[in-house]
Amino acid sequence: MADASPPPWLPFGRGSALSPLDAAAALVRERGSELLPIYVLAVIPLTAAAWVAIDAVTAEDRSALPLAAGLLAGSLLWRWAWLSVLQQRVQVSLRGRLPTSLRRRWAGVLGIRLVAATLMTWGLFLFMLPVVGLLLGSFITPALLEGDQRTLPTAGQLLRWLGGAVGRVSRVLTAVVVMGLVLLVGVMVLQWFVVMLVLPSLLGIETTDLALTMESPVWWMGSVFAVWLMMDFFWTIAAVLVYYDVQAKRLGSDLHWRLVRLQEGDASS
Amino acid sequence: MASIQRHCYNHPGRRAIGVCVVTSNPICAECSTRYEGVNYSREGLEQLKARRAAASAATGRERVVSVAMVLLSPVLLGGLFVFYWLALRLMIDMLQMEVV
Repeated sequence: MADASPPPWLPFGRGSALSPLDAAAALVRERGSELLPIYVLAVIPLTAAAWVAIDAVTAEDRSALPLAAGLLAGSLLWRWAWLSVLQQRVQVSLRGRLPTSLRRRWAGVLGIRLVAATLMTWGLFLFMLPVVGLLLGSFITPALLEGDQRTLPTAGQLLRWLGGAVGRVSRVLTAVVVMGLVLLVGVMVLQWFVVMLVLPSLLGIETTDLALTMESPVWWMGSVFAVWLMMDFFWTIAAVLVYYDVQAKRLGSDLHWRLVRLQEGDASS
Repeated sequence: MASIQRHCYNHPGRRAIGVCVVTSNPICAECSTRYEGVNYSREGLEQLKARRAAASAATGRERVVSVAMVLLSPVLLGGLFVFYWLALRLMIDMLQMEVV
């Protein structure tokens, strides 16, 4: 239960590294109806592109691959733009009015996101590059909206700050990956349970065809993509909170107690 | 309230007429140069000149980087297209290997 007055400032290192994830879950519960439509808008083109890609792969239609790859690459710009809007909303709910507008920073955000996506894809051959790309792309929007500082120095500064909080950020990333795997296994198990047990035994519905469909690559890829969408939504919100958590540790500000308050379900900050 | 009598940083025997806004040292009339309505000492002017040169160089570099990013963006986007195309091809190959 939250006290009426803010708790005393927690010194560096005492707060749990996973507290931003708890705060993100609380934020999703409180403001999900406001944030989810923005995310859905962001991923509509990507979902359509993924559908085309899954269809082309399962049909083994190589002639459709250039279209699928083009749609996937093209849908990214739309997605990044709207994810930035989503992160801006989260940022405003945390710290109130922002010093600069997203419209002025869009070019910088999209440019850095493009570099980050390149690191995450072609950088797969070197383990750390995809992780660097993921963190850079996730944190660049809140970093740029903090002020009028130029894009490249901000990105460089962001990488230095992340380098100084490697342990904390890696614990968060590990937790998110584990959450995603658990969610994927849970979804698969639930589907099997419903199709193999609930529908035939309790409702008397013949599920042989449905069971065959569930074993197909289309179903597997679709399920994996659906789980990825859920985790992507959560991570987009959590990234803003992780950014401020890292900053609170670095700057010794009072933002950490605001995260604790949010975690405890206190919407008024 | 009695005003504090300050003496020039470079000429301790002379009264200061102002303070350099860069070095914050008190300066006499001879040491003071008024530039854009503000008092500077000789050292302050040199520091100001160095700062403006550095800022101009930084702005120039950033303009070059911004232009490079604009030119590089289609290349990076094309790189993503190629990556996804190769990844999808690999997935088809893996599916065909499973069937075989």
